[in-house]
Amino acid sequence: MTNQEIIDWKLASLANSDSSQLSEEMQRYLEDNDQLQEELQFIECFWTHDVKPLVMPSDKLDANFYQMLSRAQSAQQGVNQAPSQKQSLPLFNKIKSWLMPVPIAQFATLALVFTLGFNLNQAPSNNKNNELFSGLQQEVSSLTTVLAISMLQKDSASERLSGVAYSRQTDLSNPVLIEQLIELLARDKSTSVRLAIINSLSDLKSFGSSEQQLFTMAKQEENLLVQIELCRLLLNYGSIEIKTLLKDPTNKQFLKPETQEFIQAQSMASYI
Amino acid sequence: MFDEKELMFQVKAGQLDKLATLFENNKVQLFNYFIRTGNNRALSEDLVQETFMRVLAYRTSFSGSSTFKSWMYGIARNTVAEHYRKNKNQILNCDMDDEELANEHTLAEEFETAQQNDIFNKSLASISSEDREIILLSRFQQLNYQEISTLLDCNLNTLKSRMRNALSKLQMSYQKLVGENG
Repeated sequence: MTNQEIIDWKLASLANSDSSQLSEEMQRYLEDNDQLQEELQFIECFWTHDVKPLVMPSDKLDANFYQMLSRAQSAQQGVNQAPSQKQSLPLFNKIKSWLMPVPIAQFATLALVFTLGFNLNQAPSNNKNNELFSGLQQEVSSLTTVLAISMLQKDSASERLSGVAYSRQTDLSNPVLIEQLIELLARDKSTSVRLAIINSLSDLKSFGSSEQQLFTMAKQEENLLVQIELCRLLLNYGSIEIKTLLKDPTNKQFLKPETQEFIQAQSMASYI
Repeated sequence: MFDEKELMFQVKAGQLDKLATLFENNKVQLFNYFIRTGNNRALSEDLVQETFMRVLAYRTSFSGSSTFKSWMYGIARNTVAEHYRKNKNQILNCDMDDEELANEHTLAEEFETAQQNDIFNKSLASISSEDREIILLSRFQQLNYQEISTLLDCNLNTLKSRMRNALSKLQMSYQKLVGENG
């Protein structure tokens, strides 16, 4: 029997973890030991006395904790979502992109160009081969047209620019492609794409029914650069009627002053 | 009563909302632990916040070999130690003036209680921080010997011996102060 054992029993009983009573032997030991009694009395007094009542923290602690927890939960959600997006999206996008008309058309064009080159190198020129060559050329052109139309419908301006570049590789004989280019010229947000289209349209031998549409577009155009380029296109490649209309003071008033100056300078240059 | 260990395992598994229950269960005790170890209110609140941030950050290291309380107080001790290591010039400051005493006593009782409180507090303050910590963890944070021995990483018998030693020093200091006041 030691003092330590009795103190341990006292502390355990004060902490409510030991509800057992002191044994007779312990009781006798304690009665004979005044110092230990005093020690136990002090421990009991200290343990049961409210030395310092519990102090309550402010609401700020709660607010800060729940803010921290909320941030952690948001971060956790972000982390949980990110890998699934990373895993599923690229695969889905890859499959989707393989089925898009652009890669199919690109692959078909490459295959046709390869067949064309292979046939030209392998066989001596004769009428049959010439026909075949001509047919393949037409197919390449039509496939490039499909490719160009597809690219012109893309959301990205750089892809639309590529579409305009593809359209220049065709002979621009496809009315659907021309219609698509003019429609894009009227509504595209990118000045670069619009200027590229104007440049591409200069390859046309004749604007045909689109000429009037281009003239109306030039009159209504807000972008000075596009307006000047449209006027340059019509002045250089348009019909005599359109050129006359452009130089007509009644129509000129709809154009920006800088464009009017440009037309005047162009007229004087052509006169000289 | 919640099984805190189980809740902590759920937090570890990713159910972060369970941390709120653990926080509500322990915030007052933990806040008072920091107050009693000599920190002012504002700093004690910051330390509680920091402790729970670390509980969240280190959740994966909770093995369940000790109770949640024991593990949490281990983090709390490290948090306060790190704070004072970073702010070497800052002295422990017990901000007693703004404490809210909730108990209702008569004036005479209040005076007697306040006087005894004062002596107990001074006795606690006069002993070494190591001795004070063992008493605080047992008396105020209600950790049992097993939890404290895990927390302080010492043998159970050694802890019992240290506890008795600490209580003896506290009693001596108390008697000395009572004698001075008497």
